[in-house]
Amino acid sequence: MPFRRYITVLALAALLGGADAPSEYDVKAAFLLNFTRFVEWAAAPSPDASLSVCVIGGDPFGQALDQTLAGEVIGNRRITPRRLRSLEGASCDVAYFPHANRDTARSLAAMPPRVLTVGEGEEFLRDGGMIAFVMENRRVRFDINMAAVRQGGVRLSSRLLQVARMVK
Amino acid sequence: MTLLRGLFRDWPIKRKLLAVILATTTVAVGLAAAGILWTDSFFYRRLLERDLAALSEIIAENSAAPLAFEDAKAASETLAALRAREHLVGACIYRNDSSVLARYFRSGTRAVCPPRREELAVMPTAGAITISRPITLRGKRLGTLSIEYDLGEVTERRTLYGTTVLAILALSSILAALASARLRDKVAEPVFRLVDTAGAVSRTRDYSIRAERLTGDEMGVLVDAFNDMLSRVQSRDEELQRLLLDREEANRQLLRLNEDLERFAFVASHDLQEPIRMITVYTQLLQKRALLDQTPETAGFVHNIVGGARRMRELVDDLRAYAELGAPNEPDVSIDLNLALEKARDNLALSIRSSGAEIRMADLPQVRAYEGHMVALLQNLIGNAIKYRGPAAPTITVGYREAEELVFSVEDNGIGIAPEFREQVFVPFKRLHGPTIPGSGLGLSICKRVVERYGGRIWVDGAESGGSIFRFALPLEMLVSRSEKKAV
Repeated sequence: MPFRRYITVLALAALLGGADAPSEYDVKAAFLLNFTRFVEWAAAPSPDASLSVCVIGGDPFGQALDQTLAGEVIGNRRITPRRLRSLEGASCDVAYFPHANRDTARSLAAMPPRVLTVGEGEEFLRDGGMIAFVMENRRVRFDINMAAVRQGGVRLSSRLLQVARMVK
Repeated sequence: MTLLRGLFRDWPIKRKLLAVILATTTVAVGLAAAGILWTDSFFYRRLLERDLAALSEIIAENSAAPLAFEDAKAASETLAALRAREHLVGACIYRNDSSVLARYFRSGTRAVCPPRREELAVMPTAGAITISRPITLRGKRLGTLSIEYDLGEVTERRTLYGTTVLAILALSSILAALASARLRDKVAEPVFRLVDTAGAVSRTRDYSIRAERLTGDEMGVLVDAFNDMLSRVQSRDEELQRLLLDREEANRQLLRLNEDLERFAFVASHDLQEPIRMITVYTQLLQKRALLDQTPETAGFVHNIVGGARRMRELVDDLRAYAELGAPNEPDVSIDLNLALEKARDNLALSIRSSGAEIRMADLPQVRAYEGHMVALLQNLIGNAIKYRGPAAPTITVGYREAEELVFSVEDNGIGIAPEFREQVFVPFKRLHGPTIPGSGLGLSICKRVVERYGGRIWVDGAESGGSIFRFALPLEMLVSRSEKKAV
């Protein structure tokens, strides 16, 4: 959707307009980290297992994600960013689908349980995603698809719903 | 203070009781109020702090998500819930970089965010408490919540309590005053009753009155003691009355006896006169006849009879004079004692002449009396002085001195009276010299009776010459004037 992308870029440009204002993906990276904090994660498979945040198919974050997640832990699990072409064969705790990913709907359908799926745009939720970033008045916000959350077996804190723009 | 104590001491019991009750109430309520106020402001502050800590924790918890996702609207909504707390001045949610995500200020207050601290901190400031609490999520610090709460509530409560206490104090004082009226009556009533009873007893001198015992307390004991005392006084009073009556009865009896005796003496002396005169007359006739017969033995008998008859007549005369003194009064008139003395001297003219007595007379006053009494008095005294004369011719001096009483004296140069007999000589029929000196033994008794009849007294002293000085004193009221002669 080139038009939609255009708007996003426009919004990003507007966001970047402020001198020290954080970029859209700085904010999204921070939000992504914060999402992990509102999830009740299942017990780790091994004590030193890290909590993987996988960006699937293209990386819109650049340095932002690495900088944001560097040194962050949830419980005793280190949060590790991973960039993957596809989800196949990988074990992820959070799967992020950038706008650029064309395979999103199919990937979501094949998603293993207990993976928090985060994407961009309202159509991400329609495709069966759990949390979708949306831009509102040049601000980053997010919608939640509770049916998908429940179906995926992810236990999300109700407090997250409180700050969501919309909960389906 | 001393003045106050003195004032309190003289207050009536009722007012004292009221003062005590009111003072107790005031002190009790005041102390209770002070205690409540102090503990309340102390505990309420602690309670408030704990309450604020809990409140801030909830707010911080609810602020975590909005803070995590930069949701100023949601954060503001969370803070807006604080509006219900009217004493909450303001609250701010800080980000970690000290910038403010959301704020809430009570309307009408200056919009200054309360300060933030790195750690949880309760900061009491003047009139307010500020709490700064970190907002964390999964151990990760997201920002800080600061809340400022004014202590107006404490002041409000203090004002409320103060007003309540004043109201209670006023109310309880009024109630105490009202209730104490009954209470005071209960406490003071027995006292008043006792006071009334004591007053009645001392006013009427009726010792049969008893105080009523209304209570079993100390007042009851006092009433019992009072009644006991009264009954003792009463029995003693009755005893006294009875003794007094007995005495009066005895006196009356004695008087009656005395009157009977006197009447007898009077009747006897009066009725004896006639037979004695008969005896005297006929023995005198017999004496003349016996003298014709010239029988010495018969003449001796008759002589003795005549002498005995004469002594008997003298005795009866004196007895009559003595008895007459007890008879009803002849009216007192103003008499000149000089004249009475003249009469007495005339009556004694025979023995004065035969004894060669010299009588010196002072100027005597005029008194109110019955002349016969005064003549008898003076005549007996002078007659005595002649009768008990010494070897020398008697010299008798009648003296008079006026002091608080009218004091008369009859001094002689006779044989005198030994001091131990000076009281006895006034007793009827008491004679010191037996038959050697003739006399009825009634002369001085008559004198005593006359003097006492006029409320005076009579006594005898020894004179320097060895003779006697008879003195008698009459009340000053009898004096009419110093001397009739001078008045003329």
